[in-house]
Amino acid sequence: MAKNNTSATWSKRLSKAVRRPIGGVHPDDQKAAQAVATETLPVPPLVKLAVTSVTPAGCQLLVKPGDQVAVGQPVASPVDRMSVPLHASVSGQVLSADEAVNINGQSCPVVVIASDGRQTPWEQLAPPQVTDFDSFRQAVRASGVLGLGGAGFPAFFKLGSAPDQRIDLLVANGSECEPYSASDAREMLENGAELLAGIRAVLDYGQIDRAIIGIEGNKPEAIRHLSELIGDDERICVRVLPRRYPQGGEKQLVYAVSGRKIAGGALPSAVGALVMNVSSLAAIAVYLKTGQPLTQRRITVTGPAFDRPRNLMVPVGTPVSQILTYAGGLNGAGSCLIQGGPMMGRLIEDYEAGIMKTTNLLLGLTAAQTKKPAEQACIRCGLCAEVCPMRLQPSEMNQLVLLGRYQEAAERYYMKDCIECGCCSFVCPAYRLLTQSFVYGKQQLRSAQQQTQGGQTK
Amino acid sequence: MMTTGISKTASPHIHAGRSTSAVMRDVLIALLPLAIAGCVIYGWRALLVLAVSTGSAVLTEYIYEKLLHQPVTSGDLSAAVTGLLLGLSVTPLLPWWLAMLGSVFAVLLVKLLFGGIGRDFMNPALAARAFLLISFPKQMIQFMNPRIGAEQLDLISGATPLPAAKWSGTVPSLLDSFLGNKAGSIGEVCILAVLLGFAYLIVRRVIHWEVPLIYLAVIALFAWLWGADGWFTGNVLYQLLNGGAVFAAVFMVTDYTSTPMRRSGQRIFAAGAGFLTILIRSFGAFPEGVTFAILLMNLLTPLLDRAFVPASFGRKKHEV
Ligand code: SF4
Ligand code: SF4
Repeated sequence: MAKNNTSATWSKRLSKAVRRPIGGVHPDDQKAAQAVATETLPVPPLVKLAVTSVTPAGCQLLVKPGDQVAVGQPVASPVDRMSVPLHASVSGQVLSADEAVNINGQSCPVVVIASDGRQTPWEQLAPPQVTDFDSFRQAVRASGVLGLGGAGFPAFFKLGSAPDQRIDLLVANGSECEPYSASDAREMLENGAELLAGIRAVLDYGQIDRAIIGIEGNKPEAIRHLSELIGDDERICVRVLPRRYPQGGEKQLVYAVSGRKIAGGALPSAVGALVMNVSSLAAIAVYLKTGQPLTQRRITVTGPAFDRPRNLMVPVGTPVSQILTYAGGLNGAGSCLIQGGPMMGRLIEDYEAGIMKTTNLLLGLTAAQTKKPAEQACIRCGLCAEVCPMRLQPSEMNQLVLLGRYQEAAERYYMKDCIECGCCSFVCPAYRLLTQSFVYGKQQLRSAQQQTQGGQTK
Repeated sequence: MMTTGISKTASPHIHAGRSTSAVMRDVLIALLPLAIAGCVIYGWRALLVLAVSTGSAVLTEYIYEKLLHQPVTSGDLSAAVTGLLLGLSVTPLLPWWLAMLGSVFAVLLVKLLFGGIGRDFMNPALAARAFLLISFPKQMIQFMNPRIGAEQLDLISGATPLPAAKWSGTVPSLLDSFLGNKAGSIGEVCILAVLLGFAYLIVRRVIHWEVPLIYLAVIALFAWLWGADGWFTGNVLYQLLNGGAVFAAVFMVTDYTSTPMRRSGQRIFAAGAGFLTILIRSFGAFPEGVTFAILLMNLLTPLLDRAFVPASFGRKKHEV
């Protein structure tokens, strides 16, 4: 009864208009790829599956060199509470399963599979038996789905451990606020029915009252298409979000559609919300229907260094070089390839690394675009603080980090709440490496914490 | 410094494209109508002062950095802005060597010796103006009537742009005050030109409209309150249109480095400076209060910056 009361008040609040974003910037959209239909990449001769896990050593390998594997067969399974299994994305023979550097530049076990080109499905694939919340959660875990928007947080873990955590709102994240990115927009257009099936499954099994699909206004086709598909299902609605980076940040998105504020370090569940990427929701629906786990994903390949934008369906683990070759290579001397968007993506250093489940965009930027003038002195213009969506004080935090006073930056200026969105560095007229210094400062804080904890246990 | 771990190739990979020198260029462009108006009103004397003050500011920075083998930062145009601001805020009759001295003082003593751009603890142009006012009061408060319509040089020695509030003198009409057809400082005299610059800075988003308006509103309030003939009798328009209030509102109260970084602190800064301006104008030893009022508030800037740190999104203050 109490729960019904809360949801009634929430719902009343939800009927209000979308909240104006706090801070944020307007980088050039560059969404040409949204209009390009998805092609399927030819099966690559080999894939490199990086076995990443949420906790260190959270997965154990299930295959060894020489093994024959089929598409959808698990090659690694979780042993911790948070990680998800990894499945073979091609059929063929395991060549090696050694420690190697993945596309993020981190070292982890990498399973290399030589493809036989046949894409034989694993014979044990079958739709999961889902009857209640627990079996649903298990199924979502078994699907191997991670936050496909790039964050990579395991989808099943977001569902919480029980349906009674008073989560009353599912927010499907279709805002895709990073410039150039388009894979979620294509997902909504090409797999709208699966997306809605995924949303309904989460609503049903999670006993959640309603779902809002948040989409930025620069995707009118997706907005129209999904609104039509939803029809008169009153539990689901589409909200058109203002075009503003980082509108798709979890905290920013929930605030926009519901007015609820998730503090730094807190999860959406703290305000009764569950945020899932649209592609992740669709992937869950596919698994529920067919038992086909996440073994391939849509990647947008675009940017000024490519001849034209493309959306490609590629097996997880496909080496970047394969995709590059298919897309005709990078044009222009000094061009570089970014994994993810220009605001938060990572520079790819090793083109032989395999793409991961979280790789949604391969962005080719020209040397002129990425050229950064040397850092100059801060002129105290205050712009960085003005655009910070977390209301932080980048200029002051940056000074403290440069002095090695990380703790002070955290205590006085809330540095740990930085979501590393890049807005402050994007606007700083002195080209200061603000975001970059906070990434570093937070790392230093973490390792200091680990050291004291280590010291205590000894 | 412990900067080795900060990755230069990490995200974000793109930039909005506006640099410090682009911001300073916008300020220079906004100052252009003021400079032109000053030269039209007062002729070659104004041009000479502006050229000397701007030129020597840039040269000072260049020579200092060359001598100390530091990277030359004159390209960021901030020294040019400082020099031009100083030139615009003095009388067209200022001897050229005083204009030069002022610029050297501003750039060398207030800016460079305190660490260069972004480090000046008070507005260098205003500090230099104060320095000149104290050290060379005779030359600083000697003004001339507009060239227009006058055949010969018409000195109003000892008079100030704000005479009537305290001493006798002819009060210019409101229209003359607005257009600058009167005696005054080169860039402060033509309110129309200042407003043009203001509009440009707003359009280019270099400054926010709120801060100058608060400053002027507080001046208006207290001007009215402390009128010459008792409470609530002040001539508000007179106080606003004469002296350097509007000029300072747009170009000094909005200075990045010497005013607080956050809007909350900026509001208090502007209100405090407005109050002090009228306090000094009404009761102080100097006829013009703008300079010292803002300099005083400059000294409070670090305090205002530390006092108003907002809690981050979704948090209450100081729960980390
Ligand atoms: S990177 Fe951090 S400090 Fe900079 S704008 Fe984003 S949240 Fe704020
Ligand atoms: S944007 Fe850059 S120059 Fe401006 S206050 Fe922030 S750090 Fe300083």
